[in-house]
Amino acid sequence: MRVFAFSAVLLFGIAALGGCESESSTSDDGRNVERAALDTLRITNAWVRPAPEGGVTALYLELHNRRATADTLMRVETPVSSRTELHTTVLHSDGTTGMRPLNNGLAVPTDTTTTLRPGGPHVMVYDVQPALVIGDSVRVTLHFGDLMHTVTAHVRPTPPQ
Amino acid sequence: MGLLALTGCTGDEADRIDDLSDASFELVNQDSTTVTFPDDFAGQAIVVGYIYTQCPDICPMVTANMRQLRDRVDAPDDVAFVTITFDPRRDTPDRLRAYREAYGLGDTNWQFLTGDPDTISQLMERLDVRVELSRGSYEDDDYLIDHTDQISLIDPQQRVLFHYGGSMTPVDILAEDLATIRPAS
Ligand SMILES: [Cu+2]
Repeated sequence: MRVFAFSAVLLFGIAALGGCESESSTSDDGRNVERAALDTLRITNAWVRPAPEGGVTALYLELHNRRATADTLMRVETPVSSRTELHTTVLHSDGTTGMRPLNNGLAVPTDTTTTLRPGGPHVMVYDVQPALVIGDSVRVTLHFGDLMHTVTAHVRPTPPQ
Repeated sequence: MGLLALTGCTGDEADRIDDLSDASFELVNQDSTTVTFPDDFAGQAIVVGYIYTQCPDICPMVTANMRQLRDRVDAPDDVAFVTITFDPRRDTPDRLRAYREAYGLGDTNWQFLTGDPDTISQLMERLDVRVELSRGSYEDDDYLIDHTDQISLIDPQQRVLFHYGGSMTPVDILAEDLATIRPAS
């Protein structure tokens, strides 16, 4: 078998660092945490693969955490599905690959960009209603320990760029 | 049967992984039409990808890689692009058709194949694709599968020449190997 190492699969296995629930009450300058959080946790490049009605798809994005504390992405909601899970993709030494649920959420360490990307962490979106057609966009709400963010994800078959 | 002579430069016997000319798997495509694999592709080079439609992360990368290869070689008639599911219990012809259309392949001659579970299981074994449930069971219809990430290249004489890492192999390499076995080349 010809195998070409795809290091991203391993590198992005699980970005687990702190794993803390990030319930800490104040930021460095003492401002209201909620407000500081909104200023400094940015989400970019959200996209989702197409899927037929009733199909399963994956959602990807970049989380830029400039907060004083680590966060954990706990749960994701979208109007096109009533069931989502946080997953990561694992590569086994025998060349097989598969997905594993991130039951404790996805750690989003401070001062880093955590990327959900093909071959790594992703949001698994089940039983899509209606179909996701290339060129459409969907609303997605991300729930962290102490805040939530809503972004728009574009439906496309391959990553942006 | 002059094909053998035409492509006699393909390579050494030792380079081949398997010879499928004695094999015959009765499958069905996205339109519920019976397809006998690999017989129905005799005389064509075959690029085969393996997926299940409830695999939205790695499997679309396999298909995207094949698609890039297909674009690169300009979708010639002498090369068949074929995707086979290893989840025949859920991937019915209807589901494959909808999936294929969602990925913009509805207007192509790229076939998506499924079959009865026993046949698919024998075919996957023959093509070195390992399939194992990692969560759930076949009974509850809600399961995840660990599987080999693979694209295979089969020559017009139905010899399996290469298995590649499906989601990760550079298209350049696939194209280079494909060029050596195309009947028209
Ligand atoms: Cu998943």
